[in-house]
Amino acid sequence: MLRNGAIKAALGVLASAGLVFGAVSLAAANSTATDPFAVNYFTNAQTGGPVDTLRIVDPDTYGSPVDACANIYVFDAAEEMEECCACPITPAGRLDFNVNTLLTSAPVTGVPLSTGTIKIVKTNTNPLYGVLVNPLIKQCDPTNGTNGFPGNVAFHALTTPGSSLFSWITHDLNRFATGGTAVAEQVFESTGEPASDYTTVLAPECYVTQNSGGSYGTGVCAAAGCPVEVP
Amino acid sequence: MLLGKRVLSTSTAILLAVVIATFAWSGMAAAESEEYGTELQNYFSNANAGAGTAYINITAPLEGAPTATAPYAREGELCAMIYVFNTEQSLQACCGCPLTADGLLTLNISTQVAVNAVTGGLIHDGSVRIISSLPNSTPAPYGDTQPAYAGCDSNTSVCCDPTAAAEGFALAPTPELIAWGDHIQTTQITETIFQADVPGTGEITDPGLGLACADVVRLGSLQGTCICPAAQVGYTATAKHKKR
Repeated sequence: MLRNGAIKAALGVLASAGLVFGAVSLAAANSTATDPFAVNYFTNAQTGGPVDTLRIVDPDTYGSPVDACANIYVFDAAEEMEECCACPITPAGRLDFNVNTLLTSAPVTGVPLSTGTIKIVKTNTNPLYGVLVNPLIKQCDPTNGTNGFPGNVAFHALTTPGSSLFSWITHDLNRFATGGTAVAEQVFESTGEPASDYTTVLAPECYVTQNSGGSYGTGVCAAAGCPVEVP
Repeated sequence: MLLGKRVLSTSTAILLAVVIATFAWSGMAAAESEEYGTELQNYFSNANAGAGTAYINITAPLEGAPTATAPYAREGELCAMIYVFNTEQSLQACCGCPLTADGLLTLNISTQVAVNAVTGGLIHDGSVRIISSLPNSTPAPYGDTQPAYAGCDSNTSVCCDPTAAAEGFALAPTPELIAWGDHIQTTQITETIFQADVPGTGEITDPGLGLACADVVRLGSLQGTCICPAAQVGYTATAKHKKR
């Protein structure tokens, strides 16, 4: 009797441990998608090789009416922000960016970029957009309201935990001595950086980038418009 | 009394379950690789074999502190302390390269990483470990020669010494770097992200990687060093300084 009881107790402990372990594992699995910051690099852009493509998917619940913003910051190899932009994306929607034409062709220095890094930050959309009739209020603003437009105050709050963007980029390795090509693809990596990196560094620097190019370059990626979500 | 025992045993069971699950989870978490970390590891293959060219790309994703006093802190500058091993786990070369936030450090494996082994000659296959740390030295005084293995940033006047000689050969890992490495296969080039890990105490304290690196560069005289890319180190971008 005692032995049966001990066995039952042991089984109970193991079963409970399994449940707890499963719950912890599930929570951890969700937490992998909680970082709104992600980074990757690009190489051999604007060199005539295979065109690299950045793809962004919003993993939020399908059917949710709440859009998100993909804030994109493009840096050259020496960490200078050269272009920035922000595009709305719907849950389960996908945006495809041609790295050559949309992300590296209009840097603030006027010299198209060939190598550098790309950081993507997911934020909410502007709640004032569509409510106030003001064309200067953007749905997605990579400067986070530091652009000086009237009525465009800081509105972006980083998304709540559990909601990041998933992004991939192809890399044109293109380095075979025989003249062949090699293309690889990498998922964007979570950085785990603090929200202040967005509010105090990236957004203000984007404002400066977009307003200091003059006749050299606009510093605006996807200047002609964000790509249409892939149907 | 019986109820009390049953409640006690239930509570004990739950407690044990939590303990077991916690241990299991912590073990699994330790075994998993993160994308970012203070020690990054990857391998290289078929370098210097004429089959193609492979690169290592490193970035520092954390932004600088705009109000910091030290220029390197404002720039979010870190050091990529690079240690190159052959397939027999012998350290063959080392170097430290500065890297500012969101910058991209690109090293040609054949000409900058596996080109100057301590034993002389080229390395074809091996592995690379990168320790992320803060700058730990300053440029050599005027008239002195800057060691080839310690890369410096002339903008911020800091250097990255992989031997950490000034700190008792002890490295101070600091988050964080992310890196990708190309691999030359038989007919193609593939690419993988560096696996992140937490360096063991034995690696970062004397006698660890720092002292091993010091030994290698001393034994090798001018050999045993990898080469930091010159373009990013000390590169003054006009756009940035025009903007700020």
